Amino acid sequence: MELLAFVVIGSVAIVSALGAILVKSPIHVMVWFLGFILSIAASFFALKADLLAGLQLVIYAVAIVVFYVLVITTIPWEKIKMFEGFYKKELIFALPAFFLTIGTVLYLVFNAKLSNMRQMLPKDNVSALGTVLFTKYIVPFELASFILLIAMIGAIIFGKEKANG
Amino acid sequence: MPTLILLFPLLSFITIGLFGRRLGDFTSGLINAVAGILSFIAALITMLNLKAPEDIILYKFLPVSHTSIDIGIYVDRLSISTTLTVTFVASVIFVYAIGYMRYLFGNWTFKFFAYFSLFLFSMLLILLGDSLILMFFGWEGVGLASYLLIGYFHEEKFATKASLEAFVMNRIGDWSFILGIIYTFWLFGTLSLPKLFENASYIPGITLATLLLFGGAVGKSGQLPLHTWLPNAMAGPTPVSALLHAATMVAAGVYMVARLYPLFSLSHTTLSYITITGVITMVFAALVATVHDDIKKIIAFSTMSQLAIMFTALGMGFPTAAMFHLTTHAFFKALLFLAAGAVITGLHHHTQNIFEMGGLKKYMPITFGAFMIGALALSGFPPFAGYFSKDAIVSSIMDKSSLVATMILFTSMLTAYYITREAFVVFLGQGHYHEEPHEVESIMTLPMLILSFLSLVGGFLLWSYFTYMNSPIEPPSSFIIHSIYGIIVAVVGISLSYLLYVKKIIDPNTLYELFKPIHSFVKSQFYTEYIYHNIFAKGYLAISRLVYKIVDRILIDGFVNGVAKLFMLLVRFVWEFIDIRFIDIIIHKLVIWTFSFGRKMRIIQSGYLNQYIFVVLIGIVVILGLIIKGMRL
Amino acid sequence: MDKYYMMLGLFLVFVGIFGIIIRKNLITILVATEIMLNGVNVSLVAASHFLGKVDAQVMSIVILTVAASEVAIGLGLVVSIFRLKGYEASEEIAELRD
Repeated sequence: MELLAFVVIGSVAIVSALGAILVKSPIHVMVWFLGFILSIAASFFALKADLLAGLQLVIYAVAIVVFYVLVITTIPWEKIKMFEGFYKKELIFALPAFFLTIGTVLYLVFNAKLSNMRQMLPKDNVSALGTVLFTKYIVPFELASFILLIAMIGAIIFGKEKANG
Repeated sequence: MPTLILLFPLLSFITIGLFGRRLGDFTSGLINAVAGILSFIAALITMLNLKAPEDIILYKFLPVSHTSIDIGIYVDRLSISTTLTVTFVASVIFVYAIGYMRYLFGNWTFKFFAYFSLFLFSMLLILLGDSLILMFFGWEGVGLASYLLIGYFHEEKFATKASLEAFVMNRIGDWSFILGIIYTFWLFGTLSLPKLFENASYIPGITLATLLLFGGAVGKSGQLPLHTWLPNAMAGPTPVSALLHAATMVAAGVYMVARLYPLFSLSHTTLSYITITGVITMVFAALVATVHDDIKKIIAFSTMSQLAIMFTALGMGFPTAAMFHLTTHAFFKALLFLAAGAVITGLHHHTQNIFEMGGLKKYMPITFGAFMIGALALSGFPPFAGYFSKDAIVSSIMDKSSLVATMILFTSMLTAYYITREAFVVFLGQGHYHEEPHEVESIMTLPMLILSFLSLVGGFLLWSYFTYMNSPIEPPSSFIIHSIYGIIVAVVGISLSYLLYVKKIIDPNTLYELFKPIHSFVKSQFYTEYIYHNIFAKGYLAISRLVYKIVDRILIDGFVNGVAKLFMLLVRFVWEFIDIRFIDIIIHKLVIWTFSFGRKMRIIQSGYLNQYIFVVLIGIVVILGLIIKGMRL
Repeated sequence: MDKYYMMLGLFLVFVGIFGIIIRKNLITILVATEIMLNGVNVSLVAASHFLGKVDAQVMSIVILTVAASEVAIGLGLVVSIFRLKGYEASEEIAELRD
């Protein structure tokens, strides 16, 4: 059952990821990307990380994708020729390197011996994660909020420049 | 509370030194005087509360294994009684200084008061420091402050010279002192005074150590052979002289020997050296004082002589008598200097030669009275303070060595002669002035009155002082009988000068013509000053010049110039044959090659992000490959 | 089973790198970085699963935060670049060299 789930999720994730980087139109990219996000969320469910799966859906599938779509719609793509297509030379060189890397990494992981300290994850993922997040990792959590704040300020400044321009 | 004694002058120094310009000169003087008085009050309270010797450690400095150089305050009966005297006399002089320096206000006079505070602080550090190293700090601070104050009129050549001389002479003494401290540390393994007193026992090297320490006292107290700075230090303003001679600087030497008396008393050799130095210096200084004509220098030589008497008492083993004489001496010597300063002020700073004065009695009655009291106290005339303290020394020494006692009596006779001579010449007789002399203002007379009172009655403290110091003293009745010689020599000295300078039985000028060679011989301080200045200092300069000409100019410069010429030849050769023919061509080629290489390499720097990332990917592949190669799968 | 998820995550990371290398479109490049981040997340969650601890998921949350920020800033930059260069500009973006 797990294996089946993995095969389904994995194949969807791989196909949609490749689709996202290979299709031409930005809107089509976003569609493939949405599929990719959903498959990743599914893999989180499969790995019993319920909260992360939910966050993945909320943040990526709703917020980020919508944000992308909004930006894409404001740009007149038919005028921009320079962003079309691929770098041919790089494609030719990168393809072998890509396969080589994938091969080595997968070889590595396949042969690796994972840690033996098998523990079961807590049943209630949300409360366990929340407990850890607000006790042990309170500083990274606060820092993350700070990063978000700075990003917000940065985005506002960029937007303001545009308005002035 | 003992810390406060030190703190007030330090605070005053910092305040005046930093903000004196804003505060104004009068306020600075006031702060200075108030600090002195507060310090005196703190000393008084400390003295009243003192039960047993106390060592208050403020800070442990440089702790090395189990020893450390502690910075602390050591309070016992000796140090606190001396502190009391010093702070009292200093406060009185500080008040007086406000009046004396009045004519210089507006010319950065606050500096003067700042130096005064520094002077007092350093002196208190000597008095209260609980280790030799702290004492040495105070010692140097006193030297620095005296240098600054003696050279206070730094626009005048003789003042700067005098300050430099004082500094150099003191340096010789300080050099000896610090060697003594180092040697003491080597012998006892500690510099802390209480520990030194505990461990004081005869060790073979102690004679050398105490002699070296005594060398410091010689420099600081102006004893032979390091004496020439003391009369020349009169170049400073009169309150400086008073402070220097009465309370702070010169007393430091005597106090140091008395403070370290447990060590000094262990070595009979050192004690006899101290005695010999004292005896020679007191006769020497008294003789010089009889012929001098500067109002302040006579008093300066008398200081030298009196300090020598104290050293003699120390050498003969009577530290308490010496310290008591130091106390009374502080009173009447300060009084004499203040009166002399008042005379100079009254004469509008025109002259300091006593033979250009005369008949000042009717212009300055208070100053006259004060000076007379000081003079009689210095002469040892009963019942003034000097009588008790000097005759305590004489009567003690009489039992031990009648020769030394006779020398002291002889010195006392000379003292009585020269100081009353000065008093008679300045205040009696006739004088002609362009400007009418005037009595000084009350801020200057008040300190003189206070000191007059103490010079008058201070001697009666003799018995209570000795009891306080737990030292034996004969009862008053036998003391008076013993002191009969002292009274006789004082009367002889005073009547001699009275007959010569008031009655003029023999005209002093005839005598002067008669004994002119001896007079000038004595006046030149037995040629010591001449020898120091012309033979030592000038000889040193001549040798330096000779060495400079021969060794520096001819040998060293010639060598350096020759080397330089040779080097130039070599360099020219290298330049012509190696530089131009080989290196330049190689560098040129290198530049051209680098340039073309750079042009070729520019292709790599495309500026495209994806190409860079591609390189990163290649890097990842390589690193992963390495990991796999090193992995044990 | 965790191993397979780990491999999936790593594979996705390299897919993202590949995308950055070959694509010209700035929006697609941003999407490729998102794919990379998600690949890392998958690896982390897989590790969390086989270690039986939720600590790795905390890092995932931080990565999510960073990703959100990155999108906000990145898209702002893209828009700014278009505004600066003009939509009709024909030369390519090679600012790193010039």
